[in-house]
Amino acid sequence: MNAPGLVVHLMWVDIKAHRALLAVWAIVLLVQTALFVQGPGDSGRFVSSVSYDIGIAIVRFGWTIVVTALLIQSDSLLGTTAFWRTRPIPRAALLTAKLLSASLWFVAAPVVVVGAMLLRLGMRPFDAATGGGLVGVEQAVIVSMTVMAALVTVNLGQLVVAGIAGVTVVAVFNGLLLPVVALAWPAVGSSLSGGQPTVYAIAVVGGGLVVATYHYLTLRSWHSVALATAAMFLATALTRLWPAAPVVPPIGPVPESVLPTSAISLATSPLAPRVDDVARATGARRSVSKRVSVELTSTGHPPGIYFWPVMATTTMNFVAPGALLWVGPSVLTPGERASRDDSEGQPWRSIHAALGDVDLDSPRRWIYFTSVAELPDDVFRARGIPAQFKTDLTMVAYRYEVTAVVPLKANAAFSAPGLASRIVSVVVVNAGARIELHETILEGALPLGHSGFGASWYVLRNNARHQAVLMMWRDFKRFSATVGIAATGVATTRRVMEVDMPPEFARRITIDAAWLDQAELVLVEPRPLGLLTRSLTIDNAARNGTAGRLSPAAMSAPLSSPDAPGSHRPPVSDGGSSTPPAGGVR
Amino acid sequence: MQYAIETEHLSRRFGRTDAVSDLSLNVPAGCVFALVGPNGAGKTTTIKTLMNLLPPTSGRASVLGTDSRKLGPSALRRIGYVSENQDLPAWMTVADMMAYCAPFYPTWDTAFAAALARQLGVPLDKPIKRCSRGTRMKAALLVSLAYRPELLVMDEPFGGLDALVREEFSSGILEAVGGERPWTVFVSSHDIDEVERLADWVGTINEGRLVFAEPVSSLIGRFRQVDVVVSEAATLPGGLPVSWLLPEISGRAIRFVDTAYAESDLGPRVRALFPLAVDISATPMSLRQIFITLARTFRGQENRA
Repeated sequence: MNAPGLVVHLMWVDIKAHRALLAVWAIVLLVQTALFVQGPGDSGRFVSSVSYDIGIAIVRFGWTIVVTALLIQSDSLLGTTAFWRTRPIPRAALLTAKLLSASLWFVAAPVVVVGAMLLRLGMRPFDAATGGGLVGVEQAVIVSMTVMAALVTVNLGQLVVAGIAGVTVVAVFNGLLLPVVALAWPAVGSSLSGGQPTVYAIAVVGGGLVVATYHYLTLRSWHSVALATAAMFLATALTRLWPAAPVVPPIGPVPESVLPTSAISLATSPLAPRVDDVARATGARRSVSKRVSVELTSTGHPPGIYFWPVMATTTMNFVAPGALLWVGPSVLTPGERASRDDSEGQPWRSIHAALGDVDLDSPRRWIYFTSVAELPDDVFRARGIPAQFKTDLTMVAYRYEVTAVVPLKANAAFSAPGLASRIVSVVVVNAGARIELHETILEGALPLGHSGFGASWYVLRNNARHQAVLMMWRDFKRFSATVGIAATGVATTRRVMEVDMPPEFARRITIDAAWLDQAELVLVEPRPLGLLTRSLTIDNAARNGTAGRLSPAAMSAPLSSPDAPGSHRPPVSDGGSSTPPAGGVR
Repeated sequence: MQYAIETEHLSRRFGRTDAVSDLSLNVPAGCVFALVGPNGAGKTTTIKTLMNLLPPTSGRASVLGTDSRKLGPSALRRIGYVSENQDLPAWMTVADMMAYCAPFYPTWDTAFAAALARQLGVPLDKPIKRCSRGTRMKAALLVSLAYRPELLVMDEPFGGLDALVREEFSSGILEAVGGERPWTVFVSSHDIDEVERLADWVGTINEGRLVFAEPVSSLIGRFRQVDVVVSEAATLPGGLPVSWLLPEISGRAIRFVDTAYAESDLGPRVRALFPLAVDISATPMSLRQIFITLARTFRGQENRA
């Protein structure tokens, strides 16, 4: 028998050996697919979205680990009693057969099933392939880790012990060794990132292949244990040392032909910048710093355009002799707060512009503010000393566009990049409507800059009456079912959105059966136009009040500036400033 | 003479223990060679080293002309291996195991395999995990004979088998190896009766060292139980030949095992040490008696050590 024939023979024998386990695996995939296609639906059909997600993850991960381990351990590579060791089976053929079997069962099969499922749910082919591929990457990571552990263990009990040891080693590496390295070599420490899932996945899969090949060809167990440990260290170190994902989308400046930028200027809103205390804990050490947030107002551009800051470098220059100069980059933290005066924030105007000549209504409007600086607490100890606060902002210019329009009827469906959506039902209720929408979303797989801050929105539009209602995401009841999370950081979710629209939902527009009959569902999404850089300066900024303590009183304390005198109206916090102002769809 | 197995100063150490030490052994092609020795003597380690399941610590071994450390698929196609320590694929039926093994061997003889299965009385459709120990050993033998290997290596194949199964097992081996082209069989065993029945060469190993290896006929020819009657009660003198094992005396009767028996010089050698000898008789020994003698001698040496 030639080598390929031998590999196929060995694979076939493994299928027969594990046929019961594989049948269960097939059932797991099918049940997961069926549940996902059906969607979480009413709470009566599924216990809860949490148990749904966790249940699927545990079963899928667990079964992948158990069967992969048994696949490897059934032809043990340890000891001297394995049957295959005294048969004319080339080790390379056995290695190939085992890796191919594991890849086909636990990587290729989920890729095909998930890809087909996403296609069936209306996703575009590219997105379906991407979604399937991401699940495949995640499965490949699990399989690789399991293979490394199964090579040097003889049963599931030992595998569990090896797994615990591996997790412990990586935890010690992450929690103890890396901080020590960071302390000893600050240059290395400063370059550590939070981790790159894709780099980690590639490193683990590559490491698994190397360890498996080495072990099958040499059968040197302790060497393989050392190699596997090194591979896990390397994967962890690589992912931490890999440059973090860019904050700024890889797009160029806004072309003048698209948007003349010379007239665009930036100012803070009448609401003054505010200062929040931010507490961080690093090990046993706790530090407090100050986060400065501003609401930005841009002028000198068409109403359909809005700007979203993505990076800031802030300087706090105290003019008094011997006082502090602080300069540093900032982590931009978008926040939001409700508008109490119906003022139209930038995104709102852009959405309105995209929808055309309609009266756009909504229960609430939201104003976005951005944390432009996070300063060490020491800076604020120089209280009362006037300073110049200057922040250089890099922003992405966006314009909302209508991505999809479908009649507001049951079974109307549409797709957009990373999204497939179908209206399940539109039910007229007493003076309102209840819309059930099933969505399949490929989160995080979209190119950076595709969407300003994930702010896609659904709008009900009635062209005949020139009216539209922006549906706020808080008014949807959402249920998620995730099929891919761990390795890639990308989630594919299936959501059911239900919106009940009582009369008070839209304050100016009355929604009734006749209105709904003429209505259409519109998806609006922001499209990036390019980057724009502007500076924002506040002269004579000085700290009022008490600083350096974590207390409710210190929260929302203002900076004083000529633009925003000390007696300003405190901003209204809604849900905390750390909440991303995610939009209606994704 | 061609040798199926050759070892030169082969040693295998586990920590501080020499499982096999300086073992030099030649197994002629075409013979049935039995390696015997007490528990822990190093028989299994020797076989595992020969089969490349363990690398030697020092020395070398070659099997069918291939260095044991390089024993790979091409050599294994010519070698059958049966061991009580082998993990058979328990989920398979015997028929599954035959179907599993057949593609590995170009010389697999399906008809011969079927005949062997009938002869050994192996139930083809029974999962191996539900088979008795004897049936498992017969199944292992079946898939190790069906491709007519040039060398059959067996490690303690008779252990724990009842008399009937042992008979079937031995008959199967004898039937298979007795064809036109004689196979070489290398078997380690405690079971002296089966060894006596099967082997035409025998080697003895103790504490990892080879004591001797020679044709069974030669072994039986040079071992004699010698009984000497002296005219007066005496004590055992010092300086007895090392070839005289287990010497004992009771009144006027002296008994020992001569391992270098030669009819012509027995009398003079005995009388040189026992001048009052009035009767000297030498009784041929069975293989079983020889190995019991050797085992008792080894134990005595261990106790003295």
